[in-house]
Amino acid sequence: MSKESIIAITAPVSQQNRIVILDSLRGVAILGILLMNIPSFALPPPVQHDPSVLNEWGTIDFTAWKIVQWFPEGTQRAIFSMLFGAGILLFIGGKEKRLDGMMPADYFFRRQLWLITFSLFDVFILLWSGDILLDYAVLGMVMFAFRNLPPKKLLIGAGVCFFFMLATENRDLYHDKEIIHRGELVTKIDTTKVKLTLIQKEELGAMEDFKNKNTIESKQKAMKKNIEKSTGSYSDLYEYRTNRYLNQLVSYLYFGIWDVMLFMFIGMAFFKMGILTGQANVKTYLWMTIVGLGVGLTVSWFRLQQQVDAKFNWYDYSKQVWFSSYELSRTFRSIGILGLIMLMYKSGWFKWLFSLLRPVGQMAFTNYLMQSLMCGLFFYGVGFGMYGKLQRHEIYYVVAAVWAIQIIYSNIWLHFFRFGPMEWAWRSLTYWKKQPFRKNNSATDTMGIS
Amino acid sequence: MTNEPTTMLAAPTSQQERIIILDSLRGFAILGILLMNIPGFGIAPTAISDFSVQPQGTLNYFFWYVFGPGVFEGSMRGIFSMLFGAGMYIFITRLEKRTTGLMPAEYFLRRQLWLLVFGIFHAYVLFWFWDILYHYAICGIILFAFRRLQPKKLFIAAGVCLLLMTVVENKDLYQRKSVIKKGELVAAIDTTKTKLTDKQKEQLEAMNGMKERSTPEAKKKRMDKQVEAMRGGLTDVYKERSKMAEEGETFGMYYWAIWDVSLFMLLGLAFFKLKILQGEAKTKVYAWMTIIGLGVGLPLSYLFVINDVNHNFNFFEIIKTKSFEFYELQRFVHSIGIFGLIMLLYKSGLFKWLFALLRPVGQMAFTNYLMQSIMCGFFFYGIGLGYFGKLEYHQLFYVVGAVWVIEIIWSHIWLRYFRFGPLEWLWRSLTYWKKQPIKKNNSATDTMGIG
Repeated sequence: MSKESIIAITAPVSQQNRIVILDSLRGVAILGILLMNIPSFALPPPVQHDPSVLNEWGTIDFTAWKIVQWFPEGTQRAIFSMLFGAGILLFIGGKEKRLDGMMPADYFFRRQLWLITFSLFDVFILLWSGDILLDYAVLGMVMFAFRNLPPKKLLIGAGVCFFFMLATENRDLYHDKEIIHRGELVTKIDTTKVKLTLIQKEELGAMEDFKNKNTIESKQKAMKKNIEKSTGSYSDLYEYRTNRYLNQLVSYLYFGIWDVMLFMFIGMAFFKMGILTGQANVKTYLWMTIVGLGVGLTVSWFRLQQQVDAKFNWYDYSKQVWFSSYELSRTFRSIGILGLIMLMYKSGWFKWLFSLLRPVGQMAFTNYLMQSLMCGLFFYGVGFGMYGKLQRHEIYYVVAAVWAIQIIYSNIWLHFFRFGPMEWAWRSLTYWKKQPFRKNNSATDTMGIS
Repeated sequence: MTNEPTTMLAAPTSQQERIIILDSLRGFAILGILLMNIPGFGIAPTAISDFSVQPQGTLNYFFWYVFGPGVFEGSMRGIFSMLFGAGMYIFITRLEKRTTGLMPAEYFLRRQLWLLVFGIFHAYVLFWFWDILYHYAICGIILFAFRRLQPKKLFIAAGVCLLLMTVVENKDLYQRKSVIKKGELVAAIDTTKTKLTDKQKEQLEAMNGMKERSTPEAKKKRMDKQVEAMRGGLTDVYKERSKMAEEGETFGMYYWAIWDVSLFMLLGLAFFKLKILQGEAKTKVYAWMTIIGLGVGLPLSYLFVINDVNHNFNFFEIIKTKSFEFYELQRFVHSIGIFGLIMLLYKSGLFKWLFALLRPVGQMAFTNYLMQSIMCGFFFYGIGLGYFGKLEYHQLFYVVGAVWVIEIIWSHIWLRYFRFGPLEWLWRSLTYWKKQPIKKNNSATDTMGIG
């Protein structure tokens, strides 16, 4: 892509700036994502989002849980999805100018299919069961159909996704509530007088199952089993992690389709409106921050409070709660955090930070996979086997260490090379031609993950 | 699409011919698919391929063997997938001639996404848990990236799909075998002397669970529940079928459809480029396909089926004794044979009436496919006449016959007055986001079918 650099050079300065901030944002998001992913690398599933199992009440671990869940949870993934949505526009828009006919579409679909292959690598080789690349690959193809819509219609699309996400979330909640309700009706029957029918027995069983799974004892039992499997050999881990992934796959896409597409829509709209590129008014970002964080953090606070009140017993929680507000809180918080980051950018005081994170974002794909590799080596039995051995607050030290490492090597690597290694591989596969790798001139190539 | 008729008229005659046989083939496949689907409409899923829990008898067994796994199973789906693969290629190349830039890709993707919506509608509103539109929508999008490949490379890609499907099947088989093996090792332990660990208990339980589920009693119990639900009201049917639809569409997509469907789409694309699908290849080619496909395929299928029969459809025993799973392999081979046979019939020229009869059925294949779900749903489910579980296996095929007759008749009548089937028209209109003309104005028939 020698043409690429020519275009980058001939492009106006504001164009260049635009890409710089997108890369920096990507850097923020790719590092931020690890904050939310680290429990899945480090802690057994029953403990990951549940401080009650190890009796963390009142400790610094509890505080760590609360801060992460209250504030950033889900937002970095959201920003990343926005950037991916914008990236689709950049990828195709750039090619449409240079190539005739259908080639831009061809390259785009090849790129997405290779991303599926990479996701398989992430899941089945690096054993990262929380992989999100598949969702991006698949849903990115869907978003192709919407990319020419004006911002207003894109936002309507986002609204539809938001509605479906809320509906899905609450359908699940009410499904759980019904299991409880039916089971409780059966328990009221005096079995000395009336014999239970088969269906009633089943309903009772379903409720009791649900209840029993949520006791501290059964959670601890599940935890022990998990640790055993995750600290064993690679084949144990393989079976465990890939099964976990496959079991979640259905619900992943079932959720992911709305959860991811919602923000891809917003990302495309914000890109077209100049919001994502920092070209909007300071006032816009200010409002995004105030409303986003104001509403988001409030809703999030109440949501967590309900979990705390139920002592993380999902059975009790489902019984008490009448509206599931996860996506609501996440959407507002994400927009708020984006606003906040953009305010920092517009203020001009954090230039050092944005330029520090820019290379991290430029090789976001490499860094995402490297997180799986590094954390895998640190936590799983095939490496240092620290799985389940750290306290909740300690896992964030690991996050900080990974951040430091990634910031350093990204800055060094891009000093010598045009792309991150995985970006280079992805590009070369997409164009089915070895891409130039080493840097020859001072003009930095700015093609990031998307 | 006012351009369409002009293009059609301007096209050479051979173009027109080509499309006719594709439509007829589509007609064959869409009617044939009901042969395989009818048990899904009419009897409990547990009993579909299991004669240990339903009335036996030669006639029942014969129908099951021939229209089931012994001869036809999967072949109509295969031909339909081939036609879909060819259809997407036709769709895009035609648009490439008429529009510029990325528009063909736009329309194509919109078309696939609407199909996805139809697939979801089919599964959750019409309650058809074996819906295939959903999978076609997704596999079609993937196929887009491969459409420019040479036939040879397409064959390689199809081979990869076949290989991977076989790997997946066998991975599954060996995973299940290992459950049995581990459980049996634990069962051999003398529990009076050694106490079982938690892990061993779990292994034992897993094996026993599998064994239990394979007993006729357990199967009958499941069947009764399924029948009760399907004869019940709307919510019962919805609950029962939406659960299965979710399994089939969401999980099935990644687990098998990706290989099973893509395999034949790739083949279809290759056959189209080689003009095999259009019937323009030499008779020898089709003869060889028939001879090898059926010659090898039918014995293979026999081996595949007989193992189930010998173990009286006991899943546990089948897994235990089987050492190689080759469902996809045998299905692939006999499907090619059946395709070859149909094309031989076409080439012979003796069956012109049959192909002409089926052409309109294929032209509105999409409508006919969904209408099968509506008609059979009405006949079998509790919200309609409630015949679910009441017919013996061979009696199901009387229903098939009736549906065929109805579909052949109305397809002929409908297309006399209209350019497209009603759902084809809807799909087109949604894809182009513009109301398409539906009434026929001139004698030139529009030949845009489902694919």
